[in-house]
Amino acid sequence: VLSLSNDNRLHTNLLQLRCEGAGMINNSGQYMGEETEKPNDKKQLQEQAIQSIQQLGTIAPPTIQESNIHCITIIGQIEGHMILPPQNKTTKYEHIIPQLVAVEQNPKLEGLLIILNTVGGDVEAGLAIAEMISSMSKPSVTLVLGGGHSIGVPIAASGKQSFIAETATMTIHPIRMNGLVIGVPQSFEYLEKMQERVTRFVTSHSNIDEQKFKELMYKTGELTRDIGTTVIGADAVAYGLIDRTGGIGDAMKCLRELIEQKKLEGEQA
Amino acid sequence: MIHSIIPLEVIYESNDMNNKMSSTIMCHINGLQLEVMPIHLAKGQIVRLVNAPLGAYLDPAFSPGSIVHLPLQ
Repeated sequence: VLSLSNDNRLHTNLLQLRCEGAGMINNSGQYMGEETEKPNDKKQLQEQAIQSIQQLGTIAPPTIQESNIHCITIIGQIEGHMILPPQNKTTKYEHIIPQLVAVEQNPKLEGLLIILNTVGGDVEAGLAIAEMISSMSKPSVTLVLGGGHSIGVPIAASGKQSFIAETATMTIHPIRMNGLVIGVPQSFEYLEKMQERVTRFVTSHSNIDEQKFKELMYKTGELTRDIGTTVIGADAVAYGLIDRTGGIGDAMKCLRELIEQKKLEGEQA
Repeated sequence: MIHSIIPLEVIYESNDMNNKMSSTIMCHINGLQLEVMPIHLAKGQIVRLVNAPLGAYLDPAFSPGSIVHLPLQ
């Protein structure tokens, strides 16, 4: 054993073996969560580790502390049915949805942190992600950093609590379409319905009322190429679009509080 | 239907420079989903972690720029 590793490394690894609640990597190389073993199990594990050092000359790999919070970042364009050209940095719908399902079903994960810095993207994909987050049984907190524009607005509003950084912005503007239009009234009605889906979700998951949201959406003179409004940090909170201003520390603290609250409710039930 | 602050003509811009295929691939290594740029038949450089537990972001072996052995396709 000593020929494989020097005294210090061996000592460090033995200490790590004794660390309580540390995450481990299983045989298939996957990360495992914090183990809450009984004292007998711990002793057994230590004996097994010492045995493997004595017999095989192997030492356990460094252990990694596993978190009970999962973090999902939504960046760039939200990509839906159409694959966007490679110059776009995208968050893909098919990557996010399985993660949300995994968080919901994994008993070791107790909370979800969504960090947004998005310019918008596919309406259906954005609404699908927002609906998934809002319907989760586990506490979720959203944090807008940089920007949470267009279809990023319903995602930002979908968490149990939402935060926005002081410098972050959100652009509220109507859905647009271009290209060949066959049947103007029908296309207009379809566009109205799509817009209504977004408006209804935002107003039902935040404190902003429909009238104010539409007023911000159809405001002229704010954007150079479009109608709408850009709201910055505290303004988003003042309009009721987002719950609080803050950064990662505030968001994590809030998420831990929500997790504790859910645990207490579970104990009382 | 796209709802974005980026103009549609910019999103769908398709000139010779941008029309080439993306040089990165998605792969699963040790249960983590990674976006990797292949640099050799069996090796790749990590571009970003797509789906990973938080501990993996602190693991130097999975930091962007690290070289990983690509799983056999």
